[in-house]
Amino acid sequence: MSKTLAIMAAEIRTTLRRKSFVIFAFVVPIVLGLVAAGVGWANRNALSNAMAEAQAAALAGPSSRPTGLVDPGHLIRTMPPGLAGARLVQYEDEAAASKALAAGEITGYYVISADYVQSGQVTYVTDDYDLASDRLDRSLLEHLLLVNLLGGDAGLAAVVQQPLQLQITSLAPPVEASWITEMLPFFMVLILYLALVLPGSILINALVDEKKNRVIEVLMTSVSPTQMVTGKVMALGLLGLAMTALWLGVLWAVARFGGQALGIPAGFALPTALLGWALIFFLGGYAIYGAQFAGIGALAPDINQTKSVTWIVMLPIIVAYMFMAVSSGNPTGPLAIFLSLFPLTSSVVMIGRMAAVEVPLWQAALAAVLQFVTAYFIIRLTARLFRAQYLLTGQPLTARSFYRALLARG
Amino acid sequence: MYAVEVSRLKKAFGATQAVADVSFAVEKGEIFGLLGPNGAGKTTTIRLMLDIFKPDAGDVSILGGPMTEAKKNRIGYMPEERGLYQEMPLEACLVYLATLKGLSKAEARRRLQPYLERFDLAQHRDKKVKELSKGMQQKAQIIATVLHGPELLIMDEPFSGLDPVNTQLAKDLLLELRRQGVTILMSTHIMHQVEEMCNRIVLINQGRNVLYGEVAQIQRQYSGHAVRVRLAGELPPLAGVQAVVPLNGVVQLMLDQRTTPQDILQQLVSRHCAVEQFEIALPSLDEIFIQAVSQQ
Repeated sequence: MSKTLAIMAAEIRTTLRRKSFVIFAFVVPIVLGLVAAGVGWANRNALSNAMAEAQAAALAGPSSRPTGLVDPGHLIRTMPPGLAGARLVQYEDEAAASKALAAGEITGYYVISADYVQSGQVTYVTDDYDLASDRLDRSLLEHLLLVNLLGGDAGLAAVVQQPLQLQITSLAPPVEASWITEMLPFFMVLILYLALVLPGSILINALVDEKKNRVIEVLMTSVSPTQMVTGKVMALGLLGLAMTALWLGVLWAVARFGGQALGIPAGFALPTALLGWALIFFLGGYAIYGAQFAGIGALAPDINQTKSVTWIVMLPIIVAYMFMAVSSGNPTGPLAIFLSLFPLTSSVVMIGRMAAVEVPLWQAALAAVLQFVTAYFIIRLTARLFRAQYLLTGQPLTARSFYRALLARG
Repeated sequence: MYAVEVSRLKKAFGATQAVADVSFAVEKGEIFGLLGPNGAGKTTTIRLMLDIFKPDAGDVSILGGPMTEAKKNRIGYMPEERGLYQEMPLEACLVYLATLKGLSKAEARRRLQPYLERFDLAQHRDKKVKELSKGMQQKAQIIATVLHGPELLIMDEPFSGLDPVNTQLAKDLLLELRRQGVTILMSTHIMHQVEEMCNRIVLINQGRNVLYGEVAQIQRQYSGHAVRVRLAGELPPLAGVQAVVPLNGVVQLMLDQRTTPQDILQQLVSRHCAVEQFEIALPSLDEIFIQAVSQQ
């Protein structure tokens, strides 16, 4: 065990000396978190300024000048309460209204044409150039016309204006739709995908470096193949786990503390269960892919020959990522359910589904069990590649030779 | 009980028979030479001994039985292709390799200090391995092999890449370890080093034993019918001498079949010659190596 731990510690130290890993795994999420905090702070200030302005406007009350109304056809027989006087002043003719406008007594005036019932024509006259300004209160006149067209019944007019008063009752916790609810599945899929791929590629590099430096023969006479592969896979797994936890932590902090400033609805929080499942599926997925990456490193004579084989090994997870990222995956469709249970794709697709919809517990549990069973068999197969006949070989590596060695008997 | 016992080893890689039939035994506390031309099967034999490869046939007993994980801590192995972590600082690299042989970090550091000073590497301890010269890396590799205090050292070409001064440093270390009871098996091409250091040797060629035994005995076995003589004066005519070959101040007298070295010595004494040196002419291991390999 002490040798395994020694290998693990050395591997962690070596990996932490790789700038690319440290930057992507730790610096980027911290910087993104700080940027989000900065944007949130700036937006919060802007929001409070806007709120202060709105509050000042509310205190000032409605526009101090009313709107004029000229009704030559005498359509308006009933003036709903609250409109007369302060908000709407009726004039005998257009000349009187025009005079009041010129005197600055009103903001403008409406002229309801004498044949309004046939033509529906209303004219608004104002001295303001900006016709889109808030001086033009359409709803005010619409309500007045509707009341009078319906014989003065204000209650009926209110029903006609809003005929559908739908009350929606949801048993699910109320979550307001926002960018974070829509993007959450994508973020979760991306984090899992990167957490699986990045440590795996470092594992390949570490093994190929040991072969290139010719240390591997010294290692083989110092430790067992199991100690060698376990120490390395555990080291990169721990770093991947730390990376996943940090990325998820930043996402959690943004969701938790971002608030309205970042357009995150009140009461929204990343479900703790989702974070827990993400770590479980990371471990299972890493065991499957990390072991295969270790096998590639054991067989490859140099790093260039690992690229095409790595791509083929990663194909299922790339497909899973594309499926979830590009098409949003239709998380309740049969293909999504299949991919979320299939061990080579479940770590990404199941987490994507869980972030998007409520996934039955049995499906998540089944996917995790299938993943860990598959990981067990893949680790057993790849451990056989840590033998001298492979580690000391200079034979070129192809996808065919990789799978042939992996599935070879004995 | 032998430190290493190899019996009728065979190993093929595809159509290539790397080791066809190799047997030898290494006694505890001796320096044993594993010799052979390039491609003779030396490295494969060593890898079979260390259980890196499994033999197709034959037996290996190492430190009293089959190779086990526990025995790895009792063996120091210096492979033909040297291997150190190029990006690691020298001290960290050597301490790490020692921890893989069962030492604690503190103990490894404690043992490392005198070795670094002895091999003049103390001032380079914080440098990355790749920043060291080839000779320095070779010395570091020797330290990595012996640092954990193994009972058995297996070294493939231990002096390659070392200048004469550092070669002497390495030789002195190995001789010191032998005095402490460490068994050393070394594979080398440099025959005069074998003559100087090894008690016994095995010479293999094309995967088979060619010569095996004590160095002196093998030299006697291959000695021609000749003596080497250095006299204070002129060499008188001697009966039974077929030819006289001058050799750097010494003359080598080639004798006929009926004449013995004692006959020659008697003739010299009876003629009152001042004999400064008289010895049976033994072939060098280089000569034996060439002769044995070319005879096969």
